[in-house]
Amino acid sequence: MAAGDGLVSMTPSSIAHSGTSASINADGGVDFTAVTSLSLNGVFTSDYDNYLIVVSIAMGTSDFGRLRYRVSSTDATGSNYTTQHINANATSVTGGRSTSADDFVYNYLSNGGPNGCHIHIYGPALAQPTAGRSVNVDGNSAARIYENANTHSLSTAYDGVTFYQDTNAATGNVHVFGYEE
Amino acid sequence: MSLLLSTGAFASSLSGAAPGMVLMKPTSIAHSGTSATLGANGQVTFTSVESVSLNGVFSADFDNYVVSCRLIADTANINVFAKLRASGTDAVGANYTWQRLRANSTTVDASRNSGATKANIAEGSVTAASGFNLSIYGPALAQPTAMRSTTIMGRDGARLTDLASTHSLSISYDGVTIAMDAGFSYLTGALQVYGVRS
Repeated sequence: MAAGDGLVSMTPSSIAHSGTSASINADGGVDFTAVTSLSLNGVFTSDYDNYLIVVSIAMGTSDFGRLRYRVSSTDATGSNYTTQHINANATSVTGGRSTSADDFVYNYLSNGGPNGCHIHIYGPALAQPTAGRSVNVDGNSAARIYENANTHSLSTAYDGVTFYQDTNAATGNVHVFGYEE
Repeated sequence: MSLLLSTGAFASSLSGAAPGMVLMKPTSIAHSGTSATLGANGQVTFTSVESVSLNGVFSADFDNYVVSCRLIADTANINVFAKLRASGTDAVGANYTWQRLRANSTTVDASRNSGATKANIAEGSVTAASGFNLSIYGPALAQPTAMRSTTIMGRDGARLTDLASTHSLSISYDGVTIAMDAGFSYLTGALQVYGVRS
């Protein structure tokens, strides 16, 4: 018997951006054009433990896509992120770990093709450490797998997230969904 | 309208918004092989097919989609491919690139195929259950399309294979064909397509 919607669209209470434009659309997602950073506020609540973020991005110039948690419109910038990545590029498979970082890379954003990513976030609004996992395709060399598992060690409840790149602007759509409980 | 909602439903409507994913019903399907059936809500079930095509399943209403599929191969382990399609015609130009990452017992390997005429998205395993979730980013937009599948392959008991692919043409597609190389095996299973609210 179906008991609910399963996956619920989370409309940000507000957004902020650096770059050309960003807006909340009628479906609850956010469309953005040529932004170097995009912050979504009020997308994590006590109603849901776990979340799915779906991102599709096109780039004029390739860059790393980075993510930080935030609360009350302030990013968590302490050195509390650890990331494990795996990179499958043609016949090469490599991995690496970054510790005591101040963000995590959720996707490499290539200008060589379309980029898409599903980011699973476990417990960001709970006052406990947060885990995340990104599953993506990036357009580097037309198709590459560059994905990450990550943790954030602080026992802080976050209500939002900031996406940003090191330098270059991104255009696309992002939507946060809560897993109904 | 709110007066008709239960307390829990009303709380849900306040804290979230609309359902995040919507089951899509193709306007029509086609197949090569024994049979394929379009269910009332949009599920497509298929028996011993070499290909099954879904028409009118991508639209301007959603940017991104997820395909959930279970399958078993009849006579041989076989790669499964996706071909985007528009107006009932598959896109079969050499415009696909796919990257594979595979874990089989203690062996981990990777490979890439460029200039392909279809995107490898999964493998059907003979007599053993397999399944995949395929995310498709922007197929109905007039821009290149990205696809990403996470799979369980029943071959050797269980294999883990991830596949990423792109299609380079800036064309809007309304459907997809799930197919194998003809003449090697047949697939039996079911799939659904969900629109991800943008």
